[in-house]
Amino acid sequence: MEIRPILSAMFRNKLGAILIATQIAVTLAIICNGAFIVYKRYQTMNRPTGMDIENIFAITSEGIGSNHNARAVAAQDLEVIRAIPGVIAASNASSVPLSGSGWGETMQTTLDDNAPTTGTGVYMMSDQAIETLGVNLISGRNFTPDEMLYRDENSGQIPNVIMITQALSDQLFPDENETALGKTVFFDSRPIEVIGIIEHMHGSWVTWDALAQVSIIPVLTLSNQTRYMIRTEPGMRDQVMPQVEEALANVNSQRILRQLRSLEEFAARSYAGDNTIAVVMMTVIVLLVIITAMGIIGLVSFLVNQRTKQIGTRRALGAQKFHVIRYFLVENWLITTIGLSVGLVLTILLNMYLVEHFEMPRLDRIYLPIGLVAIWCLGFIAALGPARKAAHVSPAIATRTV
Amino acid sequence: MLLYNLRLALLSIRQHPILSSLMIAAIGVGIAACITMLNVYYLSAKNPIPEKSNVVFAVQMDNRNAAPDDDPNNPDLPPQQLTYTDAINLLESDLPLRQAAMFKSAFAIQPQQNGLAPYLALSRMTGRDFFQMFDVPFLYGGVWSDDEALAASQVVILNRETNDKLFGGEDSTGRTVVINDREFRVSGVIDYWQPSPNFYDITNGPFNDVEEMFMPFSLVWPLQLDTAGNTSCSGETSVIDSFESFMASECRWVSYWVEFSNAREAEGYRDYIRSYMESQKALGRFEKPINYSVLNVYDYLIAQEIVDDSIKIMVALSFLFLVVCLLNTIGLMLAKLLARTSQIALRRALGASRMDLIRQYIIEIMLIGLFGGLVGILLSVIGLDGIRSLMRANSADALLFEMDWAMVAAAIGISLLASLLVGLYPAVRVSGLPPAASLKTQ
Repeated sequence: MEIRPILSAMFRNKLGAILIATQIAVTLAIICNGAFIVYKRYQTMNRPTGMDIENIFAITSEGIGSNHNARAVAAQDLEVIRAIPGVIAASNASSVPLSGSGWGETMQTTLDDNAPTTGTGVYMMSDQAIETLGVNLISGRNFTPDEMLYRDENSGQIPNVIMITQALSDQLFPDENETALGKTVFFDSRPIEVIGIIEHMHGSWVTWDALAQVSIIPVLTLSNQTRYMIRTEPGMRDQVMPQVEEALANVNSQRILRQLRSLEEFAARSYAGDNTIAVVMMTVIVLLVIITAMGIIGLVSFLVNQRTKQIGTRRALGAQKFHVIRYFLVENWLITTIGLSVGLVLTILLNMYLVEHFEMPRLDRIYLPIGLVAIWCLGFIAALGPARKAAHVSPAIATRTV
Repeated sequence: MLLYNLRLALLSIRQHPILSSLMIAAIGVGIAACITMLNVYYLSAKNPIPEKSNVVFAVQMDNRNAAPDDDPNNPDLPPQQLTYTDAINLLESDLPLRQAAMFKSAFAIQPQQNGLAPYLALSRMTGRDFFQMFDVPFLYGGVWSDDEALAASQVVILNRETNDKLFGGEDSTGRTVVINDREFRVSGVIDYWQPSPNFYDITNGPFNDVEEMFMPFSLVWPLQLDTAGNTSCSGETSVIDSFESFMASECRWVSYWVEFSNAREAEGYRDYIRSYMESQKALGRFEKPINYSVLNVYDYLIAQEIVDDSIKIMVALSFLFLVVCLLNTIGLMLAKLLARTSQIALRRALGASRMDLIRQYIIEIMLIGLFGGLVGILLSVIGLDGIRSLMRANSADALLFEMDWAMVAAAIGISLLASLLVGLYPAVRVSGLPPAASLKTQ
């Protein structure tokens, strides 16, 4: 192959090559780091929540006035909701998982002041909690209706029993052979018995380290505000949602019904920042690919135009179309490869900067070869058009203008 | 002369429509990416009350016990909110020019007119000084009186939107609103006011909307109000089983702001806070070593790190993106000028100096840069709109995605500067080509 003449031609027009090579270097750095950011965000967003997230929704009822019988209202509302066709289970819920608002509490295995405390997201629900959330109870048992605690708004009373996630159990009892089931632990410094272990469930704050350390207690707080979570048959959610709102309004028109939202919607709001970053980053990557491709097309076209005469001469001297195409593709490949080798260094430098200043994880090595191959392909495809145009230069050009 | 240069530049842009529009597009896309991200950054990092940010201070005291668990990343940063006890005690001090304790609470508004259904609204429970301290503009009426605050009277200040909804925008001062089955007298209506970031309550979201109403802090007892915001009880060991025990607890749910006539007076106030904490420590409170802060708005927002790291990453990457776009433009400009060598040679042969040509091409590229900047502004409006819908922004969040003149000026400035950088090399290089050789090849 004609590497030597290609190189000498390139040295005669250094600037164009340098521009494209630099552009390719920066492009590789942004694409690798950007794709990594996108991947990390989607990985976070798609963590399993442990719940039947597609078929759950919530609604909040606000009673007005001071003679509101919260216990009777909740009992009646739940009865009405559960009677609606398509509803699998319904429960009162102090807050909604993945919603960004909730109750965080501390737990300990002993009351010793120096004993380590563990954080947990707490949900006050009913004996239908497990069915409503669609979580998997791996050991122990569910609440019974007579374990329900009905407490005043300002009361700090807690019930006797609690269900916790496996993650929380592991945190409390790090020993592999030990589980929290059946043990008495200290919840906000008060004793409570663990009666059930939930395989996995996410709490309210998606950025919290203890997101999967969740506990559920059988409580209804007697206040004007009552929140309900409802789980429907697969695919029935959107149909049941307005029916529940209407049914609750029919029970009592003098209340405020608000935040009728699916669990997916709550999650989407909590992850809106991550999603935005991912979408913006992908847009930047796509634009960058287009711009770099345009840059390559521009450079190769320019070189082809500049060298029309030389191409004609080569053709007149017996070079085939295929040789002309190969010339420009090899030249472009050389430029791209120089750019990519600088780009590798730049990619790692950019990642080191992001790791140091923004607590980003280290770039997975796999992104580098993928990025390299992708940009090689991009360069090849972009250069192909102008190179084929070059092959159409007629050998007669060489004789016409000198 | 400049006009002549401009005319030639326009002519050249029209003669090479494809190359020129590619250049404009490349600069435009790069500028749009930068301005979009810069705008999000600038508005989340901006000073919400620039004229007062050095005399208005947030008061923070750390009452947690030895093992804080609520912010493992910043164990030394005192919590943002205070206990009710501390807030009430601080109100006794006459050192600050103005001061206010505050929290937000949710109420059911029951409109008596125009057939509106009852709805839930947030109220900021605070002191009279809130409004003057933060320069809140009034549309009608004014703040409740000292006597009304002392007597915990049922008075309310509405925001403009609520007044529009309930009273059709009329002056409602002195009229009555039914809230939670009780009658509240309207003492005033504030005009549109939305600090961004919403500095006075960043615990509950630095980009939340300002509340719909304001009521005296003293109503907390008679109405037994609870906060609609964050309550943090880490450090509380006794059992809370009544409203009274909650109010006396170590739970933090009240934020506290003070204003001084000048920044130096804050020093004396810091001494006061320290001695207050020491006296409370003697009573068995404040278990940890004394840790407090009295920070002005500006320092407070920086200490609380409300600007998301990912925004900074996006700004950095968007500038790298602009670099790629500019490299592209240099290539295009070079191609365009090299295609014109005969014209350049002709002008040189007819007596144009090298400077004349350089000036001509610089003006041309800057004109392209200007067009690119305008395209960039248009694209960033679209970009911001896209981000707004992705973020599912509420109305205060939406402020984050509005461009102001500073950003428009920045867009134009960056694109002119960038195009100057881009144009310099091709212009110098091309103007230096020997005219004779280029003319000969004709």
